[in-house]
Amino acid sequence: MSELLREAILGTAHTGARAADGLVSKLEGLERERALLLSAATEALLRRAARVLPLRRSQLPSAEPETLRVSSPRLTAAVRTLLEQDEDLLEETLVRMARAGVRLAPELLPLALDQTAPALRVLLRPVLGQRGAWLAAQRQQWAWALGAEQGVPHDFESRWSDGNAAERKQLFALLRQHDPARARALAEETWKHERAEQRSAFAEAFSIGLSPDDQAFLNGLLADRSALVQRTAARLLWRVPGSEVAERMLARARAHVRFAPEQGIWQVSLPPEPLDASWLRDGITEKPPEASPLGQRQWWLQQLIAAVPCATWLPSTAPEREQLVAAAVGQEFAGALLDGLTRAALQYDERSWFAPLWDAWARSELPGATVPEPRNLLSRKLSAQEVAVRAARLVSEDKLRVLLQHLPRPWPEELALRVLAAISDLRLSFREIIPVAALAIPVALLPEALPLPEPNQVEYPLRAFVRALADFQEVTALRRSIAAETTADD
Amino acid sequence: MALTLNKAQVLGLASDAPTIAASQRLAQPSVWRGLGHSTLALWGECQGSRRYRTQVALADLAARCSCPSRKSPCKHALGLLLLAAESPARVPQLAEPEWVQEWLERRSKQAARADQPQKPIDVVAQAKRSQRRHDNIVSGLDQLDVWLNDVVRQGLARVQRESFELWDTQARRLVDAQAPGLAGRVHAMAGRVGGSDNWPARLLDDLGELALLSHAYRRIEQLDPLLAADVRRLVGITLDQREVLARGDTLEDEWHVLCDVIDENERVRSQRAWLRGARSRRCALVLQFTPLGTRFETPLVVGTKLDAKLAFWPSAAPQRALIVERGAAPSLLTAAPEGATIDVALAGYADMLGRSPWAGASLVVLGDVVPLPAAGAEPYAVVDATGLAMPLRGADHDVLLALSGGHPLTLAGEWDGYALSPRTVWAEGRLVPLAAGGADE
Repeated sequence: MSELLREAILGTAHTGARAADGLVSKLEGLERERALLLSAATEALLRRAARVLPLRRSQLPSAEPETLRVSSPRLTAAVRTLLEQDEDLLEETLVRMARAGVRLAPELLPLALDQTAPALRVLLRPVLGQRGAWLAAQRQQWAWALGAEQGVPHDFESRWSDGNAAERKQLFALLRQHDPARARALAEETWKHERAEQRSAFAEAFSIGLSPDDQAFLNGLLADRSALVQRTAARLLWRVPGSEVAERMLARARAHVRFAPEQGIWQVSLPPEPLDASWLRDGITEKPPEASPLGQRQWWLQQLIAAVPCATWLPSTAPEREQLVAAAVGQEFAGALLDGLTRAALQYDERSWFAPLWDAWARSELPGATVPEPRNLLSRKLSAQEVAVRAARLVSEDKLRVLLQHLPRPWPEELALRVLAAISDLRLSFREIIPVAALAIPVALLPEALPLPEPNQVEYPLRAFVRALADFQEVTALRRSIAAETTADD
Repeated sequence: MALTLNKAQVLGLASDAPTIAASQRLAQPSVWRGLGHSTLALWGECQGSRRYRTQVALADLAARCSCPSRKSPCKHALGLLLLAAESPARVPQLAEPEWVQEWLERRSKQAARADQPQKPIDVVAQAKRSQRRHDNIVSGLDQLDVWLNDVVRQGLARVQRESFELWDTQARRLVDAQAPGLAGRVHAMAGRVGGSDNWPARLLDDLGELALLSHAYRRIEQLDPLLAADVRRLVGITLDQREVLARGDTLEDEWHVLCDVIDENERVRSQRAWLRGARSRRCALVLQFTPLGTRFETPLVVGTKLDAKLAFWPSAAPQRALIVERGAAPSLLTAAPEGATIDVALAGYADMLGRSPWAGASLVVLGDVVPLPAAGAEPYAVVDATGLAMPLRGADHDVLLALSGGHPLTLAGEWDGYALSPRTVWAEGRLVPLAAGGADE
């Protein structure tokens, strides 16, 4: 600190007199304060004019030459908007870029590297280029782009002991993914010292890489101080074959539900009231979720069915899955049956049940018990072929809105053409489909332009339809231009 | 006449980034009907949720659209211009439709009205007014000097405990004394306090500069006339554009627009554009203001060049200028500008401070510099081939770093003797403007 600055900070009233120096000493009759200020001005001026800058060696290695071509200015502008506004089109754009061997322009890299959603990161990795890898190496939080997050981070221990609740939860899930046994050992070690919400979060993470090895630990959690942890552990044990809880659930389910192949019907009896305390201990919840169409006892039934694999109900002889599921529709307690089977099929990843269940929901038109529309969940799991068949059937019935929302994109060609035809025919029931269609119809099938009536000249409700079509034009135009920028052959 | 719009020029007209994004979706032939252009205008009807008539006068790229947007140019006009820039073949040359003709006629009438001469200046009354103002300012300075001395006597350690009141009261007094330039400096000091680790040093610099300015104004008769003009301007006695035209030096050149800073508050958009003459090597700062959502009177787009005559505000180190006349439509700069080493840039700045000690930030154009991230006590910096490091203002320069990839690049920005604010980068044959960012040190 210069003498001058010291004096200014303390104040001339509190420091000893100091002789003016430099240029200012030539001025006569100045008060001390004045002399100090003018000296400060000249010093600052000299400092700025004759700024002596430090020498620094560039220790940075330079980035490797690129192998991908850089995105055009137009595509760069589009991707920037998509990244900043987190738009639906981003996924398609990044996939196309990767396929065409196009990388992000360097100015977008910090924005791209700041993205945290795991699904988005997977799509971004192939378009970062050498420059992206080089930049990612400059900052700890960008290390994901170097593939470093594939395993357990090297500084796991310190982050585990110093991290906040959210970070430790994330770390624990990561460890479960890569080394379930080590995660379990860690949990055993620290369990006593963790707060209830933390314990509950860790317990939930056991669903990652769940195996019979976890049984003993989870059994221990059934006596945890927190009721939530107890229930989480119990429900995890449903899925551990051979565990005592799983055995008990299976026995209970079998006691109340049976498929009778001879008659081709489900024989179902509702669990008795009040709810047995041992059921509660095994993770059954008493009250159905809010707004669920199921009554309390049906809700208990649903949970029994959801707890065991659908395959449990397949008789050794004859009927196919389709028959089993079809039989549930129209039967007493159909809602609880279908919902329980759907949960179980999704939980145990029993793929062959997805399509029959989807069809059963479509025919029954029942509301789901745990989500408003179970078909949405199932739709995402169907194959393109299964989807195409069902969607094409529904286009003619004007019923496919919900299904289409949740279909993987882009749509199969046949479906896309049918929807396009319906939109071009101004079928009003398709209005809500238009924004989805704008994103999901394969680019190659998009028309150059749809003929639009003048919105001012049409009556409501057609006006709203035409407005939606105008947005459709804008979005599809952007998609076409992105596609043009990401064709592999130029 | 063929359409010769270029894209950068068009994008420079946009009032904000969302408009650019929206306009790119509209730069598609499929959303337009009745596209056409003449020597005077460009037009089309955009089929959005409604059908809008969009037209652009080619002489100055002023736009008009029947959409309700208060932005000018709106996304439709910008989309139309982009389309014309990217695919001129899709916009045929045609006779102007009636609605375009009407608008062009209205515009030319308005322009004729604006050219009416203004009433002559009453020289005697003006002299009387300026003498009164001078007296007013001097008494304001007497009071300011007492206040400055008091601040230093009590010490800067104490002002940290003072409220905004301390600065605000003094600033108001200076406004009353008709010295708004000085008032602005006092207001800015309030923001310095506690604003950074080395705020006492920066505050002392500011206080010193202010004291020096007060010192200079009292001796204004003894100063070199150009330096006196600087002092008058800094105190707040501003010249209007007519006076600049009458008294300032003018210079014709091919001006390259190398960087700018665009600022928006709730009502006004402002642009500080830095230009450099291809022949004269002179730097010029052109300030423009416009209500939010409208475009600047003279679009100055970074990365373009224009033939123009500039008039400089009289100054010992002239930088600020206004555009007196300009030639044909601006065109794109095809190569990166010639950049200096840090040593040469610093020498140029020192020379300017030597002529006018209150000179603020100035344009520097550096060639072959590599950005280096902050490391320990070392700030974010750019390093040239000789190893000299120029500190960057603020801490967020990741885009700059990404553009370099460890390779040298050309950089234009503002240097104020403390830190460099990078604004425009030329790397790998491309120009990239950098977003404003980074707080003061």
